[in-house]
Amino acid sequence: MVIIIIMKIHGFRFTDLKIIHRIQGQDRSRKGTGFIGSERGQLAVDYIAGMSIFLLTAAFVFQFMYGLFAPFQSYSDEVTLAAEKSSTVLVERLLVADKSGSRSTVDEGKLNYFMNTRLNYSNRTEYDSALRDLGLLSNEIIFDVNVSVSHTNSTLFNRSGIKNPNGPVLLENLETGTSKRFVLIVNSSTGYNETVYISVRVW
Amino acid sequence: MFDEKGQLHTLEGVASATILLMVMIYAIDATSMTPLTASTSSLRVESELQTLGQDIFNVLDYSEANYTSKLKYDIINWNGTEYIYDGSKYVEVGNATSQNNLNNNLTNILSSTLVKQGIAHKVELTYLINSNNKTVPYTGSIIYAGAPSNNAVIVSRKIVLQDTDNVAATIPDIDPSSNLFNIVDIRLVMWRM
Repeated sequence: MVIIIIMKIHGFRFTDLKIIHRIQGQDRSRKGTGFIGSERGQLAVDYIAGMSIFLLTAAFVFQFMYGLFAPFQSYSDEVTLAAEKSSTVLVERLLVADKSGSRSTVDEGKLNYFMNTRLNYSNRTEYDSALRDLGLLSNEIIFDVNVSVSHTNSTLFNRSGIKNPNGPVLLENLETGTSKRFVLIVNSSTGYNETVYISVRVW
Repeated sequence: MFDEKGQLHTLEGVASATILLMVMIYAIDATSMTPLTASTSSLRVESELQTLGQDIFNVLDYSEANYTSKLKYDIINWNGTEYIYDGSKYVEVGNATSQNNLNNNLTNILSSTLVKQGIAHKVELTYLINSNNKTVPYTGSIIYAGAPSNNAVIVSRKIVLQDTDNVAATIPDIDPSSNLFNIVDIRLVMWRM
């Protein structure tokens, strides 16, 4: 509002008496030249120039104000799509329990191996290979991923030495895409099964 | 009559209208539309609900070899009663004081997922019945939750029942001459309140 008020004040400066006098003076001087018809509708060039500059300035200020907030605006479309794609690959291809016939069934052994070994950020070869399998690393794109497994009551899943969550530490000031899958962890040799959420965070 | 100052007022009018327009555009663009904004169809929310709903059916429909899945078990044992969530449990519609609450695999999963996230939901079954020598679909409701909003998401799963499944009397045998008992389409409708 303050900016608008300032603009209004500036607006009136362009239409101050000096300009009006000049326009009237020109009109007076033309009256004797014998122009046909009315001379209304003519404006001093400097007034039009002034008004144009003012309007351009106002437009620029508004344009610039969008830019001011750009760092805080969401551009999460790309990371969210990447998160959804990688969570689908993770749950339905990499971790799927063999012969389960269900797309949301995760093998406990595969989950443990993926979380403990493949997402081990200190071993960049393994981590990069996991990123490639998830479709998050190629010549064109580079993302980071952090995977966590939690119970339905939001506590972290902590069974048989699983490193959870794993992957690089989440950055605070970066837009992160999240995809959450509700899956059944099964262990066909022990008969164990439990429903958990697998959250895939990509940035 | 011959006052020519009107031209200046016109340009000032144009200038102020432009500023007003820019302010309005800026204000509208700056206002965020949340998933709860009335009559806003958020594709992101719908997509999340769809994934969650499919995951719920996938998890419920999983079974070890030669075992009946939890989802099929619940359908077989459904007694035809309609239930509604009362804030803590699924009670009979119109008979909330009775102790015949619905407590099965389906409600266990729904309580730990949709209820916790504040997602309204209803569950319907469509199965075949024989009526006037014709086989027609019939829809019954297991969990009722009023009319869904325009942004509701539906996920469904088809379950084939055999004579050997010992289905409760609610769902009829559409072909007594064969082992096919009925085909049930279970639908989960989810929406944000």
